[in-house]
Amino acid sequence: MTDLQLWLSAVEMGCFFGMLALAYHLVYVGAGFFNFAIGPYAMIGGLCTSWLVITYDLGVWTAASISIVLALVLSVVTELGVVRPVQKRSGGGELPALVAVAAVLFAIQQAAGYVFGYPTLPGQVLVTFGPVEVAGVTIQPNTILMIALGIVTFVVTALWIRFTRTGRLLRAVGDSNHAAALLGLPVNRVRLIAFIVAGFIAALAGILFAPKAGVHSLSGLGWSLSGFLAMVVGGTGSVWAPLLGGMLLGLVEVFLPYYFGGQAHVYGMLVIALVFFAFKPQGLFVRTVRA
Amino acid sequence: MAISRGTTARLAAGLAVLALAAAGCGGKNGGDELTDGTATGDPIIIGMDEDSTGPGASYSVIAGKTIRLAIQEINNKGGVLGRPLRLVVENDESDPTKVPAVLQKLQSQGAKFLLLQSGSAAIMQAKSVLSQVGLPAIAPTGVTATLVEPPNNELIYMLANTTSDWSQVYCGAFKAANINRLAILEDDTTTIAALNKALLSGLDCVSVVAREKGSINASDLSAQVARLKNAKPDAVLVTSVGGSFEVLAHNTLAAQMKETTRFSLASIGNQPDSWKLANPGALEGLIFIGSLSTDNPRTQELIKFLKEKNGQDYEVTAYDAQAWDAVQLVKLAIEKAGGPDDPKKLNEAIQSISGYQPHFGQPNFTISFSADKHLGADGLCGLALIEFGADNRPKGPWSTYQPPCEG
Repeated sequence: MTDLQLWLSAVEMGCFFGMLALAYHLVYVGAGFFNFAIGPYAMIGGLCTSWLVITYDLGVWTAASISIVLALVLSVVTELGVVRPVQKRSGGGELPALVAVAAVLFAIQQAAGYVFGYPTLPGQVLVTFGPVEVAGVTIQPNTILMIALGIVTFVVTALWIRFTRTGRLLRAVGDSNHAAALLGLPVNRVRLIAFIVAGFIAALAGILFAPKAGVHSLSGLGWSLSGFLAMVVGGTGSVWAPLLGGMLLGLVEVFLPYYFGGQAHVYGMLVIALVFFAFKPQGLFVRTVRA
Repeated sequence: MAISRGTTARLAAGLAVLALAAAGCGGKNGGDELTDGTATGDPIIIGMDEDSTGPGASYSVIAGKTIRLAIQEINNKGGVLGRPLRLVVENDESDPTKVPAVLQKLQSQGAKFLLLQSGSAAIMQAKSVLSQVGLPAIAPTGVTATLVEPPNNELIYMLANTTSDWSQVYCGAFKAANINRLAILEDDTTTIAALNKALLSGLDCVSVVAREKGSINASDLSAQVARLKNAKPDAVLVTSVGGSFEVLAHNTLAAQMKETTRFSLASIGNQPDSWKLANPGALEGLIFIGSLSTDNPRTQELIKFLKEKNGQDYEVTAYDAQAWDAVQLVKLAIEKAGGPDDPKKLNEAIQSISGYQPHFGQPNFTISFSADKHLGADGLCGLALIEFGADNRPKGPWSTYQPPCEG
């Protein structure tokens, strides 16, 4: 495990998985719900940015901004138009809402195919500078951005949750949705904020990761599964837990094929999922509440 | 104000209708806007089985568009025996089970000759159906030898060199470049598994020192490339169906094995859109097996024509050239047969074509058919080894080696 290029790839993958998991985490904390449409929000971020740049010759920052707004709109529609009405009608039941969100996932993918086309589009790099050589390792600009902005995202989210009123409300609602409502806290507003912030983080992750291998309308499903697994591994006890989960998956994704060849990471992911679901479904970080 | 259940239902229905309308707007087949040009008389109907959707759409649409241009150009220049060509189009979506119905439908619309622009499994199915419909057919972009081998090959023809020729070409290239140790990076599709089985069995000229596989949807191949690097090969051959896997492979190889010579199959050369996925300079020095040589003056003419029609940014591929030549061969056969109405005469006319100079391959490449030779390529020089330049675009023939015609 001395090949720095492999570590770099693992960290890059880890940051991407971690950001997706953080988006899951925020919705879970704020709404007590797994939003499986996180992957499609990320796909929209990356795909729409590329499409606007290629088709309309827009600047990459303008295109990225429009794409993020689109992902935010989809995130809001998911909460207000799908999850909330379904939960209301099912008496707060989780399963109907999960099924509805799964339908949203596929609907976004199909709609993206119609609008942006089905071929893989090249991801757009937000900054233009050449690859950097460090100790014999070639670092692409998109890798630097992915890692740097990934870490910044976690730091800012941690500060937001710890030091702002909205962040504290998010934790309070997450502790007990019912108690928070009885106390008169704005539960619905907090839920909506959780969806919006999650949509933003997912879209940003998609934009940052798309240059690695391109993005297409069906990328969202795989990304949803990777982000969910990273969240399950990391747990929900801390805002940093998704990053830990993401990094572990990144290491598995890169080092298992290196040592065991071919597609060993696929079996590795399966084993990890089975182990965590069976023996540690709460993940590595568990939230402790003082009595 | 709360939204009532009825309103929600109406909104949902409205959205569904919008989605269906959007879907309907996207599928228009542009094939049937051809004119008779300066040709007069009864039209000659050509049937095309074109995968405008489905797995084969990525190459069939490219070829289908050029087939239409070729037909229009023939009509503009007076047609065939003074009669215009007309095109009727059906789509089997590369699904072998749909082939019989599609071919029957083309025949019922009056087709005298068929162009099978579909996937190889569908064309295999078409072989047996052709004897029932009794029409000769060309598979313009087919490269699988079994498509034109017995049994049931009496009415089907193909133009380009098949994958079984590729091993010979690679071996010639490896010998010329003094490559003895080869590493292979492949995707996990069944298409490539089948292709590699045939290709690698013919690569006894080198020692395969490492072989790594990645998912077609892979986001990272650094581990696979690190393992290839550990085997210290003289060259790496990437075998994939193309697209994002192919470019990710070359992005990673360019970063981790920049001094090692890279080879690839034909896909990368025929998918210009995928070049944009590559990091700057990542494809430089990559050698792929292609069919377009800019040394061929007929290729140059075709490139000029297609750029005039499709815009100067249009990247001409082997699919275009093979589609173009397929239409020219149809014209030649009808002329030799004295008309399109006798399928037996038409089939014999194809088998009498010899020394046709196509718009792909090297300058001296020719195509000939006979009763026993349904694969047109005369020798290996229908293939060319093309090298990518620093701008991630093919810069021209590889100077170290080119396949000879007599091979």
